[in-house]
Amino acid sequence: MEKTPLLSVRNLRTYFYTEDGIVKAVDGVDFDVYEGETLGIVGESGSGKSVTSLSIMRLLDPKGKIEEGSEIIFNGKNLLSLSEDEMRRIRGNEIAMIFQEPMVALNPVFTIGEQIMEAILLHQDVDRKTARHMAIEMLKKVGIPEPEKRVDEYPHELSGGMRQRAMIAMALSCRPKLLIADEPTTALDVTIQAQILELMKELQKEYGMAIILITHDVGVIAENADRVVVMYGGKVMESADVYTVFKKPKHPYTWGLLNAIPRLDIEQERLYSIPGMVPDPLHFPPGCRFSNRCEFKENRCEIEMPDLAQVEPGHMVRCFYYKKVENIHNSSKVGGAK
Amino acid sequence: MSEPKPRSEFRRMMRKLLRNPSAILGFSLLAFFVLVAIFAPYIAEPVNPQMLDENGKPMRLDNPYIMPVITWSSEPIPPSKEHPFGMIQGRDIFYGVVWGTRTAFYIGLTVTLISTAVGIVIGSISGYYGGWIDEILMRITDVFLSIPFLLAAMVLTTILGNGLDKVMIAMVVFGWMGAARLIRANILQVKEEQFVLAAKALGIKDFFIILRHILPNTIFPVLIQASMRMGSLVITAAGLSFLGLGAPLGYADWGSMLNFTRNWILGTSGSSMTYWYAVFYPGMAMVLFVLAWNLVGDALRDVFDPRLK
Amino acid sequence: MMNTNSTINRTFSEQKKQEVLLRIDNLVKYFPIRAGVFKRIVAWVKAVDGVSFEVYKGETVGLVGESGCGKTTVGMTLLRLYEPTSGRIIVDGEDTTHYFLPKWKAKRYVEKVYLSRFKNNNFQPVDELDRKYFEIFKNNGEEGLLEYLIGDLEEKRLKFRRDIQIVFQDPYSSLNPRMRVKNILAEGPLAHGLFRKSEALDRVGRALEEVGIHPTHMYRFPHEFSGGQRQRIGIARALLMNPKLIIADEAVAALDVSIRSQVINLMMDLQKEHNLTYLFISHDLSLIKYISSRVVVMYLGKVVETAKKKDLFEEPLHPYTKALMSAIPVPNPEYKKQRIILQGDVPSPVNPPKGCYFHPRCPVAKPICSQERPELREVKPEHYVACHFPGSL
Ligand SMILES: Nc1ncnc2c1ncn2[C@@H]1O[C@H](COP(=O)(O)OP(=O)(O)OP(=O)(O)O)[C@@H](O)[C@H]1O
Ligand SMILES: Nc1ncnc2c1ncn2[C@@H]1O[C@H](COP(=O)(O)OP(=O)(O)O)[C@@H](O)[C@H]1O
Ligand code: SF4
Ligand code: SF4
Ligand SMILES: [Mg+2]
Ligand SMILES: [Mg+2]
Repeated sequence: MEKTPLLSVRNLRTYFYTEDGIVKAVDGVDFDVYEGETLGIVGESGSGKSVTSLSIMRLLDPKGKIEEGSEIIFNGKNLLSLSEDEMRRIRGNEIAMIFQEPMVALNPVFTIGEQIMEAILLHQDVDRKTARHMAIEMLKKVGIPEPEKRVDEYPHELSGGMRQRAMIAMALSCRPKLLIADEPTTALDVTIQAQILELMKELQKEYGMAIILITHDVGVIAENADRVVVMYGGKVMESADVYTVFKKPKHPYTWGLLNAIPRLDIEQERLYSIPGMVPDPLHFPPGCRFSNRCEFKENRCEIEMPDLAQVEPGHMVRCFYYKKVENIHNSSKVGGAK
Repeated sequence: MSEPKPRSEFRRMMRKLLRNPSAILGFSLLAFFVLVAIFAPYIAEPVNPQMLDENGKPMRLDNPYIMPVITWSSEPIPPSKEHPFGMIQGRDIFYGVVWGTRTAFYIGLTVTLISTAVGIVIGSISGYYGGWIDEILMRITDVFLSIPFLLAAMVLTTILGNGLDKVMIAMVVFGWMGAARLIRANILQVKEEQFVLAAKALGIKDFFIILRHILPNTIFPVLIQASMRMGSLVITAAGLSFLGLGAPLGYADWGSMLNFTRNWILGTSGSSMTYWYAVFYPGMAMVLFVLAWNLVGDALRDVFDPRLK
Repeated sequence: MMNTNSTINRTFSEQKKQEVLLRIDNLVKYFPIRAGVFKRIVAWVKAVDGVSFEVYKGETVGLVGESGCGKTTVGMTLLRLYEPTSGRIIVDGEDTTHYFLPKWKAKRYVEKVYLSRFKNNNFQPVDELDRKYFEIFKNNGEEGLLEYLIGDLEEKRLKFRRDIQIVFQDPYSSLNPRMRVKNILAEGPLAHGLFRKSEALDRVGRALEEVGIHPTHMYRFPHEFSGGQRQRIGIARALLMNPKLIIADEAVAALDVSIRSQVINLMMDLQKEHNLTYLFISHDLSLIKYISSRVVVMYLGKVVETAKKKDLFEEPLHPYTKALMSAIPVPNPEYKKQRIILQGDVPSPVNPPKGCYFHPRCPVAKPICSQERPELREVKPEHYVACHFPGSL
């Protein structure tokens, strides 16, 4: 607890000012990332995961605005008060990012070698020859076969898994302290996903970097994250270490989510269904964002928004009645395995 | 289950239209032309003031589209109170511009409707069935596309003879390819959409699949293209008239009126703008007509997709 | 689950086994790759390369495999939205393979597949279909069999279209954006005369209710619904045809986790109520484990393993199945599993490897694997595996 976090996000609120109204894509997100750890952010589509990561990188599209009062402290600096120039020096150098669809993030008209070299030359004081050499080294490191040949290929000549490896090589070329991976394996097959996640683990060990792993797949989170943030409707609903979240979730949404997925490790009679649907961010219910779907709600939930409160050391929950979920854990075995 | 708010599609579209100034301009211009065309007999009475009937009133024209000759001076006469746009070749330019609006609509609508319909049929068959049918139809389309239009129109009118209807036939015969290609490309795309596969899996007949599932999802771009073509068709027709292939002499058609100006277009020696009105008013009508259809086409493109929110 | 009376249970399951609704026999589908000015065929994508399996009445067969292994192609060929390159598709004890061919081609098919063999003096039937058609051949002659198989093709096609339905993956593309839900749902049944126009509103309303959508919403357009609701509408469209078999191709893959379980549960409830049979196509083994009674695992256009769900998950015998299982992330941080990370990518179906298609990635491959292609064989009761060394990983 006495460690200072590498990144701390406090009360992050990012709104989009659109024709139809204000989209509160991220509306109260708090978390810390410590050196060398993997923080998993999990949530369904539209819960604000990507906007959170783009806010940290300050790569939002012009309609999006990070509201007053938000804080993103990285290495002691508030990123939100940096100039664009200073931010550029951090991006790709100290904080790197990889995306779900590497085809979008990679430039189709440059070879992957040129793109990795560009990142290196931008942030490091080396000549082109060294940069090229480093690029080949990186490709070898991420397990691309025949890196001397691949370095001169274009993104479309690589398979999906290879492209994601190339993306990782590019992101890690400057040895960032923090890597943000937004759904890095969602577009890949499970056997390729396993390769990529394994690779990320190895590289993390070697480089000692922190990773923010964003995904909608709770399985990926369980196997790869040290601590977990569960998001819903632009807010953090629950955060704790990975064991607590999966074994003793206290938020009704987390609990429902875990019981709604088919899984290999246990026999399931019938999946739990969270009723209703993911709310559209222009029409969140009043009070608790989850109140229109929550089976534990009381009148108060429809009026008041609960705070993200610490219920146990290191375990934050945004719910008035989390004790009800606790009681279910005590009375039956549903929710988490055995 | 909570439900998404049903939005009135129509209201959304109208809102979008009304917020777009160029759309408003387009529709207003078009409305103006439509009104002029409808009320042409009141705006420019189809009478010949030179000839009186038994009641002593100016005689009504048998064919209002033939501009009456009201003075025998062939030199252009500048605008006056009586003839606000001036006169040329003894005819009132104002009269010609007003009745020419009808001709423009007539040419534009007929040619666009027929050529688009032909294009849609050919393109639909080609795109939906694919294979060798597609191959043959597309090669034919290529052949038609490779013939320069003006040349083809000239050859065709030499065979068929001069006249507005002959020009229109030429414009249909050599004007369907754009629509055919566009609809084919769209169909190739929509054909793979799952709702088309679903319809096939339901055992729906090809004809209904095309009619109910494919055309409604492919036809809007074609209609938009057609509306844009409306304007340019009038220019083409005018071009042909200018070459003397189209409407007969004295026909109330903007192109033919420009044809009159051929000898006067350079003005008198020393002052080239002397006869500006002879070119300006018919030309302006044409430009605005083209502009109107283009703006309308643009506006429709923005609005006509339920998937574009 | 039901272990009170095991004899009754066994006879029941054996009886059930008799009722094969669908049998796919060595199905092959190749797509041509064309290139050059003359669009000549330069190669073939072997999307489905000899797939056989059966689907019993009332069960759910899970068809699982990685992207590009040919799952969708199997589904589409089954539905005859693609014509098979070869192989047979047998529905309810009738060969339906030739139903969608022009008559002369259908005749040629029947001659090639049945008549040429039947005319041989020492002909021996190899399956029930042979027996059945040979009987007709003996009694009514060549003409009689031809009449039986290719008479009334139009009617047979219509019946086929009623019996097999599909639910697609993409909730956005699977409903015509310019049609109202009412018309989307009524179109098929009206075309088949399943109900009259005057009954349409009532029937459509009831179907919507059954899938959990308010009947008054039938006048809406698809874009006014969420992804999950659209998927429900897609299910209602299939249901209204009273199908015997519903093919669900990644029917929940595009949905959010919390919506996914709603739709899965709905499909399972409907199955019970209407005694439906599902062929459930998915890349997600956990989902397949939850929903199916039997599982078919595909790799590169071939079936590598098929077994009852329980057998497969308790003891996967094919190295690929095992690796696939180990690659599925389990939402339980305490769950310890064998980690098998396969090297490399799935090879291209244009040039599949020699021998066992899996050998370049197989952790336990032996020299024979790159030479001889293993056939699918019954390694344990009702557990078929295509591997020279089943269970070795
Ligand atoms: N119409 C087609 N023309 C050419 N090749 C095709 C066609 N349809 C599919 N293929 C190829 O056939 C193979 C199998 O494709 P299919 O869509 O059946 O895979 P799938 O198992 O459904 O994959 P996914 O999980 O990605 O949906 C792939 O290599 C694909 O590229
Ligand atoms: N550029 C944008 N303009 C308007 N709204 C946006 C934009 N980007 C994201 N949003 C909205 O913000 C919400 C959160 O999006 P996102 O962070 O991408 O979700 P996810 O958790 O799936 O990554 C969504 O409702 C999305 O529609
Ligand atoms: S605050 Fe109320 S509505 Fe929100 S999650 Fe807790 S119990 Fe449910
Ligand atoms: S046949 Fe050989 S290569 Fe193929 S799966 Fe079995 S052991 Fe592996
Ligand atoms: Mg995202
Ligand atoms: Mg597929």
